[in-house]
Amino acid sequence: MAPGLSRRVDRPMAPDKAAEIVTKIEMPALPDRQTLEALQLEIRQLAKESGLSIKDFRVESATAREPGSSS
Amino acid sequence: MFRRSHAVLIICLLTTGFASWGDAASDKVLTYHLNGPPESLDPAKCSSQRCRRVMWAIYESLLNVGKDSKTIVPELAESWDVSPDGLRYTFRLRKGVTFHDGTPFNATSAKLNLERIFIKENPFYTADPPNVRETIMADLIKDISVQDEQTLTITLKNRKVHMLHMIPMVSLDALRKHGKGFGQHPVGTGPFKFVRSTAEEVRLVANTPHWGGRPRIDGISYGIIPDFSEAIDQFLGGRIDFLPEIEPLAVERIIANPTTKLIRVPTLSLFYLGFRVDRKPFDDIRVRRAFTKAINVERAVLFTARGMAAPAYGPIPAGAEGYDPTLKKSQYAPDAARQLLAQAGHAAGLRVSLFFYGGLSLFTELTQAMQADLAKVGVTVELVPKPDYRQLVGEIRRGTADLFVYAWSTILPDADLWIGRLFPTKSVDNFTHYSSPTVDALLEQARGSSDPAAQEALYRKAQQLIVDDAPMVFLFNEIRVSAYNTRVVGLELNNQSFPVDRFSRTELRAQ
Repeated sequence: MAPGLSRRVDRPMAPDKAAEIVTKIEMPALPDRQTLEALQLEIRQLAKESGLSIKDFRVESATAREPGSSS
Repeated sequence: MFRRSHAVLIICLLTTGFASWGDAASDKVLTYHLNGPPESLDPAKCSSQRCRRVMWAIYESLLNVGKDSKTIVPELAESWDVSPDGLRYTFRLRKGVTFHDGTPFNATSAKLNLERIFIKENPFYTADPPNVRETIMADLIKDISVQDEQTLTITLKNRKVHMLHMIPMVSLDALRKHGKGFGQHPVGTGPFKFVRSTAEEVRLVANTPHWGGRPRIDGISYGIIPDFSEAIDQFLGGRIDFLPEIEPLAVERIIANPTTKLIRVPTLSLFYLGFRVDRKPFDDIRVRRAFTKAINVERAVLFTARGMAAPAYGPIPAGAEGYDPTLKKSQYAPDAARQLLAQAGHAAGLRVSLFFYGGLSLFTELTQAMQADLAKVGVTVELVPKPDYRQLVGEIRRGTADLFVYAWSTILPDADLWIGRLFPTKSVDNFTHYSSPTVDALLEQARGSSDPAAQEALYRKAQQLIVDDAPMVFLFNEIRVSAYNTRVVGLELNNQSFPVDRFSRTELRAQ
């Protein structure tokens, strides 16, 4: 495996859970807040529509490793 | 104060190896993460966020843009008058401003600073390496004339005066003194002065006679750590105060840490998988379209970015002028991809190398997801991670990378800064070497138009042609999350996570 790939990678997070977490992060009252909120909503909607869960995201290489493991 | 104790410092030095950077952790020095060394601190030679982040505190421009990226705010120009046609600006410059070397800032230095970017006869002109500002200024400025020491008149070719914020003012004396080495000895008028640059750190100190008043912190230490995981560990350990961008997979850990906070900024960016369209196999549009259909972009982005990116469907991101929401449709169709590859003569398979920045696990995961998707249609992808961004840019510029993940971001929501830079045949930032006379003509027409509706129509037409020609797979628009230690007070970020006050009003609270 190439050097840049032999590194610690956590398990992917289900998209709907990820979107939920990021939505809660502090956001300044900038004029572009509306765009940002719309994008975040879009991500949640996409995640919901696609019905994806962790098991759907299995790449054949060693992406989804337990934290701390190395290749 | 635990985070500053000697014991902690000794452990840091032993475990991190950033010996020369360890002394940065003083009460009044803000520590800031950089993912690689700045290639140059000369504004005429910088073309990355790494150097812009450092230059942001050293230099100032005639005018700046507010945190909404649209409002124009005075900086070294205190005020201005505009002619009725919106093309002639008379700037009154701030009095008593000096560069860090003590030389005065005036109308003559402002004129020469602007002209050095795009006029070859200017004694300070440099075109090596080429950069996007040269064409932008050549397209913008018709004439610059000095009225007196404090008054400068600029006649524009179009009404995009806000573009002037892109040109920071540098000391001409320092340029004369250091010549090509100026990028290692930067001298501006900003709230912080350059001290030194090493492989591990760039150090700045407060510019005490700054016209806006003494900065509230003593200095800034930019710690150079290419590996984001390492940077996150240092941040959570209290040794870095500010991370302008974070790894998506670190979100949960930072949220759980009581001494750190996250803030979302509305970054305008496009991350893409670029093809060298002038080389085999990507000179064949069927191969490029096959890649576009083979990669499940939405699925990969939703998983790997963990809510910190929205899938992209075209060249201009939501929030920027010219954004076309009608392009929003998934192209994922692996069966069609297989057919296209077979038609292009690759029924037996195809091998390619994909270059990307390996310091961020987001890219490692994303490229692995693409690799897996492409394997399903018979394409074998060798992943070639580059440990720092500078190496990746070098490979792309030298033309050794035919397939690469790269990004484009700007502070301004101007459509021309997106589509007019990434795709025109002659643009220095057209890394895919895409060339379409029709698209070139549409973009030229849009640039020359003063009718917003006509411009919008031209940009949409050009975008559709670009999407059809597939010089790249549009991957995602970043939803940037920055992170800071709770001892940092008064941090206000613009859409590139640069502090709007250039850190001049930012404070560090004792903990």
